[in-house]
Amino acid sequence: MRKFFLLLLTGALFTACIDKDYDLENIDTDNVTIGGDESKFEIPLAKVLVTLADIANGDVNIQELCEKADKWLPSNLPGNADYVDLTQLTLHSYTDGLFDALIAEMRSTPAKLDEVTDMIWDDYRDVFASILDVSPSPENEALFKTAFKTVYDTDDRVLDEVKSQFSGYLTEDLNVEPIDYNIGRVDISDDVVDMIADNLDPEGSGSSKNSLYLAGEIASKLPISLYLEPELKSVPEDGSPATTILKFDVEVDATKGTNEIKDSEKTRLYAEGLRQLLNNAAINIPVTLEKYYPGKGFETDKSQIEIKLYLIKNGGLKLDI
Amino acid sequence: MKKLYILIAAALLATGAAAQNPSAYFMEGSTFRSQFNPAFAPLRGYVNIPVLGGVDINISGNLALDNVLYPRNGKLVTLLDSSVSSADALENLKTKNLLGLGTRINVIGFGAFTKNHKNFWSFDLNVRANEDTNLPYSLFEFIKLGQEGNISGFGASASAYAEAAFSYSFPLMNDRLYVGVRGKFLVGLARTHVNYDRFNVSLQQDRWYVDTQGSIDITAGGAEAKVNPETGIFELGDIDIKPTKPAGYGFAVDLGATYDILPNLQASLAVTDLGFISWSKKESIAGVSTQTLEFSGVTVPDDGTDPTPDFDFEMLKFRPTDGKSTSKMLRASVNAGLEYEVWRHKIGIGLLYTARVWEYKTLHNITGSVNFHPVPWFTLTGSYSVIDNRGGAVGLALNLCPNWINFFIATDMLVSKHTPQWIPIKQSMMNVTLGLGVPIGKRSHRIPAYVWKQDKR
Repeated sequence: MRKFFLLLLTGALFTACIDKDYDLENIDTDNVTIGGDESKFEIPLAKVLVTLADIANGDVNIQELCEKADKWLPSNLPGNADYVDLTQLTLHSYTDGLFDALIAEMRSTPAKLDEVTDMIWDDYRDVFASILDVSPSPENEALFKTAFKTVYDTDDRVLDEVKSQFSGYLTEDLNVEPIDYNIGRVDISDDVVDMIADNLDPEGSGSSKNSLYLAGEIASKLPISLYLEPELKSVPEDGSPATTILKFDVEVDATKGTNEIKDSEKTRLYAEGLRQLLNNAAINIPVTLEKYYPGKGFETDKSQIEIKLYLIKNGGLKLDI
Repeated sequence: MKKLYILIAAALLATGAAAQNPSAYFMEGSTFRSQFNPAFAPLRGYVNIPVLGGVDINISGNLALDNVLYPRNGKLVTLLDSSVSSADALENLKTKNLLGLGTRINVIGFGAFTKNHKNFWSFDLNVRANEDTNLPYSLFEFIKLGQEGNISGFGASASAYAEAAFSYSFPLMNDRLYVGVRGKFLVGLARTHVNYDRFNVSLQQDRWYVDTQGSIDITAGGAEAKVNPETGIFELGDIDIKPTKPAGYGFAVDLGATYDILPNLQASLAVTDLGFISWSKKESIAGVSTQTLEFSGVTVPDDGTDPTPDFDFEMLKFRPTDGKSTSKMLRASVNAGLEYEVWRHKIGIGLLYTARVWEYKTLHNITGSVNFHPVPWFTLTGSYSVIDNRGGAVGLALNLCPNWINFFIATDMLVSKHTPQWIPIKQSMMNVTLGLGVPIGKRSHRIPAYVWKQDKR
């Protein structure tokens, strides 16, 4: 009996030291990650370089468009404003103010009058020829310009036509077409893509614990504030129509060095969207010109707008072991 | 990258380190004791049972299981799991996290006293294997925190060899000093060393960057790497070995001495495994893995520069280099002990210091023990070891050597908290030593209290 109790005591000692929480048969390696739930990773994606030639209306690039706008606009904007609010040009009151200031400057400043007169001769002489009753042939240039300078602010027909061309240019011609680029394949190996995508919360789950967003920043050298609506599209290799991966909008303030593209629900990506984005994507950027700062001028560097795009991954990077 | 993590996970889950079982050091009379110090001798000559004569398995290092495995929601996860916070995971890690395994299996062993019952000789044929891994803190810091990592010196090395050893010990200074020496002829079976000198990673908003430099070096009979003819590289799975013949030869010695400072106070000092194996060039394969990749996003529109290769973390791919013969030192150990006997040599109090040179670091260990030997053929030892200035282990050892059998067993796994699979949870070492043999021949006269009555006549 004594031996039995001794054996029982020994057995109890040994079994009491077993911790079943550490059962090595119960090891789970399904959720191994770099970083943890509280981690945030940023992954460079693309640098989109937009040149002057890319920001154009037909064959006329943005610099040429603005140089002509400079001729139409008074040197001093009404109220000593720094910029022309291009979004307000559809309002007569705003356009009238600009036009009145232009005519006043033409009256007071011979150089401005010469500049506008030269533009009228160069670009609009066919329109004005019948009103001025001067043939637009080259040998009549001096005669045409003299006639224009004489009546531009006294003849209502001439003045109305000047105003019509003024408004038409600023509201219709001073626009640019959407910018299109093909991004192509992003050189990240499938293993790394899997690390980012494999543990993302699925669409509709309502969770953002493991989530992915597009973010970035835009640096613009243009003297124009812009409103961009980039759309990233998947371009199937079989030639079928492109599908939208995500679309967002961003203001580009010409007075700021960089403009942030914030991560938001609009820029959220899910696993399939990420794979499409990295595989073969294109970007289409409709551009709205918002504010033109005539005094800032253009820099003639190769790229005018630099869009840096990166991904923000909340949560760890999944490792499939 | 995936392979790297598999390697780490395997190391975390499977290994520990290489040392000798300190609980067995004061196991008076055991035939295994002379492995610590060749000046020690058993109480009688012996012949070991082949293969079972002395089995020694050591797992140690400075990482305990609860440093790498965490119970979470009813499951056991590794520290790499996302549910383990970086603070929890990094809290108990060291600058160098060492994991290793050492085994020694005595295939043949026998020994005997000479006519004077004091000089002792023995012969052993052992198969030994050692493995040690270093996982630096910076590696785990990168894995848990992401962003940046400048990691160096992580890798693993392993070797397996057979040793044929002849040991001889004898008294000097009127029996107060015993000197022992063991000469070992070594036959290398296989070795490998995988190491990353540099593994720099940066995961930042504007740039992902990887810069690695590693190497692999394997020597084993019939070692061959099948190099991919297109890429000119080989991976671990492409390595084939047929270890049917020796891959190297070497020599080593164990030197030891015991000295009776007082009749009941004995000091002992030994250096073991002082030697080398020269591994054959002919049986070697080697490779280097270098990778410098940078990804800062694509430029749109394409600026016409050459396409960059895919950005990845691919590791453990090697470009072959010329194999070379190499001499590698064994993992030498220093054992210094002090034992004081009381109550007519029935109880001993011991103190042991050991240092073992690893590939990446030298580990130190201090063990205190109380040794009961009420009769010469029975010893029961209880010990407590402190490893590298951190938590220790309680050990128990038993030696039975009556006239018909030698049996010893020593372990430090019994009273610690352990997994259902008997792996200690909180202690960073685990040792099991056991052996079985048959006592034959003359008895020892080294301990006056143990001199057999018939020999006294």
